[in-house]
Amino acid sequence: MSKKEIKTNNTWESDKQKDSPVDRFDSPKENDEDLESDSKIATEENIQWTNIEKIVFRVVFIFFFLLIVPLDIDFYAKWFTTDWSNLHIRDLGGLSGSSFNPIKIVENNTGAGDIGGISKSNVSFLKINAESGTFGVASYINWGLAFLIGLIGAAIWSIFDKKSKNYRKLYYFLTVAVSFSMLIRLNGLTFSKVFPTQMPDLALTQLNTDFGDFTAQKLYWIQLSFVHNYEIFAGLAELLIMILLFFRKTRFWGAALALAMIGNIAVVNHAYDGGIHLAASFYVIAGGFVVWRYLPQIWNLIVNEKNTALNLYQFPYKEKWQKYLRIGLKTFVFGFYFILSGYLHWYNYKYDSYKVPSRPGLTDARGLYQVTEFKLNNKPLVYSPTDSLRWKNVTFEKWSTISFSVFNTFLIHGEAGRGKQVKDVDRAYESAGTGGGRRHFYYEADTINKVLTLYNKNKVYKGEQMTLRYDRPNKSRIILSGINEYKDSIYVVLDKKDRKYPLYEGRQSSIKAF
Amino acid sequence: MSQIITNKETNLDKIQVGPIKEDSKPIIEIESDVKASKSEWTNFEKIIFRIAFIFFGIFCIPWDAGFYRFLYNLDYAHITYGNLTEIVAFFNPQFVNIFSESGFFGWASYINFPFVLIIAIIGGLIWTALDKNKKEYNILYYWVRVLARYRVAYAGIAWGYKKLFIMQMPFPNTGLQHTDFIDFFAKRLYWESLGIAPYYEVFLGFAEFLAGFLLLFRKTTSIGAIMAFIVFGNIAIANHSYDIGEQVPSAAMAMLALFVFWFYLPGIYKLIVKQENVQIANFYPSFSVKWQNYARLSVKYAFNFVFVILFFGLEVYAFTHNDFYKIPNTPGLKDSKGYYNVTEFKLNGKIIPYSPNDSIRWHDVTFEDWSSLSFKVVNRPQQIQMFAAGSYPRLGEVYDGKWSINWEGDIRRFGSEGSKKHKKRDPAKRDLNINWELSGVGNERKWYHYKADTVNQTLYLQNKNKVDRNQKQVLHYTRPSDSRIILWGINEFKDSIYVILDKENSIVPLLKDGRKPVPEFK
Repeated sequence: MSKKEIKTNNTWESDKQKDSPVDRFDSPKENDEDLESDSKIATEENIQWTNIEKIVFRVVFIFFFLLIVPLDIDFYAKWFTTDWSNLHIRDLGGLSGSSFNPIKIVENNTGAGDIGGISKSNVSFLKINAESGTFGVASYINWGLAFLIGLIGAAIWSIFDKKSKNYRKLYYFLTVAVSFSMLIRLNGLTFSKVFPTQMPDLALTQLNTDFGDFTAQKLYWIQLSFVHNYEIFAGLAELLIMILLFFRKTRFWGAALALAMIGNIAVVNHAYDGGIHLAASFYVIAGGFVVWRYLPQIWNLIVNEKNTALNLYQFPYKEKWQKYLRIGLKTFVFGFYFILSGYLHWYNYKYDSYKVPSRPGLTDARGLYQVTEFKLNNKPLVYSPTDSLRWKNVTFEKWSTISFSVFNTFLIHGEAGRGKQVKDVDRAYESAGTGGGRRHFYYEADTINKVLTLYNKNKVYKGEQMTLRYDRPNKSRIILSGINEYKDSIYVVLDKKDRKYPLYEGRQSSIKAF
Repeated sequence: MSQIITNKETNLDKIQVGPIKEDSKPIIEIESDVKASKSEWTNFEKIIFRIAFIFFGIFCIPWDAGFYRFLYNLDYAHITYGNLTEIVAFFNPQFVNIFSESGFFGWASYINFPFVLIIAIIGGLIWTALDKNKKEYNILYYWVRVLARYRVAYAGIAWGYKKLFIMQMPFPNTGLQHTDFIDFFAKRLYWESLGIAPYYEVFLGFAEFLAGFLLLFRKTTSIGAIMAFIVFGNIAIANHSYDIGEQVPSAAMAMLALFVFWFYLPGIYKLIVKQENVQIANFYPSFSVKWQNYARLSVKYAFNFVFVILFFGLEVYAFTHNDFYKIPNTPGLKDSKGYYNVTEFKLNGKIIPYSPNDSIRWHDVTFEDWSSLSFKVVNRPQQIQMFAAGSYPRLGEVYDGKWSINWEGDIRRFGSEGSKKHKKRDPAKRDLNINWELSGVGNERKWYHYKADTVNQTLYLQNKNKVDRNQKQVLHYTRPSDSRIILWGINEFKDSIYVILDKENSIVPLLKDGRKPVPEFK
């Protein structure tokens, strides 16, 4: 039996230090005490970046500076004007940053250009109207602007700053700032998944809507609504990203995971016109930026199978005030964006899930009803699937929304139910993004006089109102009579229908509809 | 600097690493961390390796006897992409079958993992007793990693192709667009939510394919392994959330991918977290005898050819010849696709008015691009057709929660039931047997496959539901205008019906932004 030779792939390159470009970025030592002793080792002052490297860095620095540092006064004012004793998750969004968008794109659909809850700065230089501005390439125009400013700024900077040999310190702090910006902006989206309020349970009206009546954008959002444990899993993954970005040693993993996971969300948004692609794409460039530093070494290590060392520069924080400042800032960030945010989101989930209306509906009225009798101006109308006036079926929810279906294709308000609406009538997660024949009305009930006042939730039909008297002769019947949205008088007899739901029956986990 | 000393007896290299820079500490840790470069493993490492070798080895090689019977019975003259998918994408050791809810969707479905682990531990202990003198297993470690790599690679490529060619998640058909959201099983909604975004499906397919493809090459194995771990791990978790039932193959692939990546993990950790100088040394057996090298290369090239290149060719052929396994491909009545209201319905000569509770009078009708017709009635329950691997109880199967060990392995796929499925299929029945239109959806819509006799203007319909195949209708048709179809004849209950259908041309919000089933490449 022949002996097998064993080849190894070890190649020791002892002269590596001088040749690799990596080492000109950083000092090879972790301890500062050794810095001065050996003149052969590159020190902070000696390391020389090439001109190209310096210019590229200047551009990148300005670009990210514009994107992550809030540039409008309103943001800073918020810290003083927020009502701290009555904090709500909506306040947190505004305090998580401000977006850079001096060029405003005229919104063709509400809800486009979403930046995930952080406030839009009101500074505006230009308003443009672009075909692809809502969901396509043109929505990135402000990044292009930032890049342009970066180029110009870098040119000016280069003229004034001939002496700097390298920007290691700035590079380090930029990496830290970008990482923290990523994790701070993520807090709202993370905790509203960990406590599933971002994609709440589906309303009965949605369950009784034809699949084709949902826009792709709406389907993108509700696909997590009926699998809460997957939503929680996604939220925990984002929480992991936040934690990994927080600590120096794991920053790479956080950035890599952010790039992969939230980059995927950016692609999904482009495929479905989800509307939140700007926020998600930010993580692609920010995560990519943080990861970039490590890539050559990792490639060297696992693909080329060579000897490698990272030789990362980290700011030494030698002075006491530096140490205290660092710890103080980190503690604040942790306390505010992790603990406080988590608590507020949990509270919201438990008591007032922000996308779901809060006002309770008529007692025990929730359910699907068929329309046994329908009179329009005292004339009875027979059931017909092609009648645009006679109601086909009606749903009552746990909260004060009533919806009914007729034969029509109403205009869609494409909000995708996002944003932090305060009033119930504006909480449109249940109705946004659906076309077809369902109409949704927010109602206020006067239980003494037994009158319902209805307001159309669809922003396109905002003015429509109804006033209906209601009567409940028994548990499963409701009789409504009054004036409808077209100022006609109607008389409707509703009988509750018992319906089995394949979506919820026979699931292994005990998921229930709202 | 470093020294390499060759031990002349064992012909192994012993690497002594000296300091790289004059004034830094000598870096000795490299030798002890990089397992493959060690010339001697500790006893603990050896035992763990023996168990791991058996455990992961079992997962990489098919053991189900039913699987080999399936291979034997394959129609090699007419091999299809479906056959290749089934070879690589599904099997996993399935010695123990459990038929219960947890056994399909929950913890009990993983029963084979601890079962194989026990076998591995016993085997490992026996091996330890027999093989006391071996110093290290670098070569065997290499080979078991090769097995795991290729196993995951082919699975990733197979699953990737399914999505790259938009086969796994077809675009929702007309009937589905007019089905209430609540009538979909969560599982089916998972499929549909991908089906409506074909470009995203292609992107996901590419990600799966790339993960698998990178695993085929030594240098990119680590990248492929971590990608595969994330992709397959995510699929396993989604399976649990949506009650899909295919979590075990995905979890097994994720586990194997992690095993492959494990080799690189200490090095990467040291590099990035501890920020030390590091190298990952690998051992590759070199074949001194020529025929060994030729054998290795020819096996490798043969497998790669079949499972990557031939597979790709078959997929392209199917894509261009309208052979999507979930969609019938007999064309339907020309330009009939759409959603129709039933303007008039006569049963045995008597007009029946519309009622939302009617179980005989059709509520609406849809025609598709292919020869299927569907109509909606209520209060007429039908058996729900399921899908996605064989992981749900079928009609007549035991469902008693007991363990059953079967030599055939996955008896639902390879047992006697399964082997019937794998017999040569009648191509004429292809469309009838495809019940994707109704899989995982509630019971209001009835789907019929039809054969159209355009000369005599007659449709011969047959119910696609596997339990209701005996329901047949023979209907004559006329098309007085573009949007009206009149049908009359004998229905499935031997009554005569007369139906007037009028196409409804309302806008479907889902299609409003120009969504199409397949992105246009022309």
